[in-house]
Amino acid sequence: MPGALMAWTDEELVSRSARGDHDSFNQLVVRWQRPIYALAYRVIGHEEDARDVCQETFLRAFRGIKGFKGEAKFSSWLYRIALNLCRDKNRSAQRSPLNKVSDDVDVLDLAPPHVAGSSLEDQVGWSELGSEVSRAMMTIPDEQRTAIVLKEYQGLTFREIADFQGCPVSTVKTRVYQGLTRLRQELESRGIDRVATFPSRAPDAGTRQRMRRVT
Amino acid sequence: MMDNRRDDICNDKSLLMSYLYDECGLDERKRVEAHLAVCASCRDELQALTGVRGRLVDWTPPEPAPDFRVVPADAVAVPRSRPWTFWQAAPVWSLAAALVLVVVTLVANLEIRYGDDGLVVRSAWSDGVPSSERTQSGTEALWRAELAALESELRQDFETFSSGEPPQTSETISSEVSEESDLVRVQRLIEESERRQQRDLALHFAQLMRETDAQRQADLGRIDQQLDRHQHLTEAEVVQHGEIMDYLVRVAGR
Repeated sequence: MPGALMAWTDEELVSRSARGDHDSFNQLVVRWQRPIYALAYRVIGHEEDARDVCQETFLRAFRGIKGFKGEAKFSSWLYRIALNLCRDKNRSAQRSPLNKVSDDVDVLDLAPPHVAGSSLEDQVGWSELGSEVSRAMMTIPDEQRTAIVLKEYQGLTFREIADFQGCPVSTVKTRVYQGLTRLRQELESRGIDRVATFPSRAPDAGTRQRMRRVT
Repeated sequence: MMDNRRDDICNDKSLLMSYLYDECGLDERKRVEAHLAVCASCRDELQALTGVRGRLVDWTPPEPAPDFRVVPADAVAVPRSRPWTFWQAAPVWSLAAALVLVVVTLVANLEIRYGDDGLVVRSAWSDGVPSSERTQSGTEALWRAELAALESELRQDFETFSSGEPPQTSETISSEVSEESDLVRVQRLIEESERRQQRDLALHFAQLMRETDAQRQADLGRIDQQLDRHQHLTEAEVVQHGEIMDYLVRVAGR
């Protein structure tokens, strides 16, 4: 029997939630809201929409928890709900990539005032990368971006992504390849033309293992 | 045979993807590596894609992340400090009622008071709206005068009534006056009072309607102005952003 101070497993919390224990469900919310929000933000590229998706995901999970029989992991179930909501969001938004990017452009991102004491060059270098990657990611088609996000940030296998996206494994590989290629072109066109010279910071084995936990 | 394999890997990128993400078996790995040893184009591509992957690590979701809880319906009345305690909240009708109340209060800026002089419903924005935004000032003066007259009339009545007889009505009315005439007088006063109250209510209602309309017109005007201003601001921001981007390109090119 797990003691009071021991962390409950997802499965234990799910079964307690299904019996009407709100606190148990809230522990699941605390545990998973950040990963779900991160996923939604990267797939949608919009903070408010990502928050909406995150809330809606847990709301649906809460409503459906009694019907969740544990045939998949709770996290996989959550991810599936979130991805479906993201897809709906992306479809309903019907934003053209260029418009989408200009929505996200924030001049403050480029020159953060709170980095005191560093030169302008340092500031630019410090903040440029994330926002440039973010903008470049928003220019690639939703399905390619989703595949890349699931691969890079969630550490899923091509087969798992194919399962999420409901398409053959070969299609997922094509999406990731085309997405990365497009991303490379975008970054180069934005003046980040030394992509290949940067040291690769792809997730190491430990990170990958940690990421795999989520599925 | 070897040429065919090279073409396969050059044309069909799925094997390269499997290799990039370390998802291929030993045989496939050897095959790709053998190909990379002789194909500069695929080697460059692999290196570039690895570089792009390295860049992706810098893309972090913005802070703060959402923070919310499920709140049981019976705990809704307790105020919570948590920012997003929203669902499982109140029944829909109570939310709707609260919303209506808030909207009405915001729109009408009402002052509702229940005191010695009865229920007072007063629309208070007439003090808040700048005079330039007022409309229908002619009619407004008219019904304001009407209201003032009514008010003074009522006050007068009330004073004569309370000075003539103590407010405790029939039980303490002087015995010199006959009971019958008293009764008639009281009835008349009550009738008059009721009529006045009805008229008063109607006037107040009319005033409310007029002021709502005037306020709406003023608000629409202001919204238009704000929209115009924001449009100008957005354009200015775009220009500013363009300048900063130009600068960045120059700095990056150094």
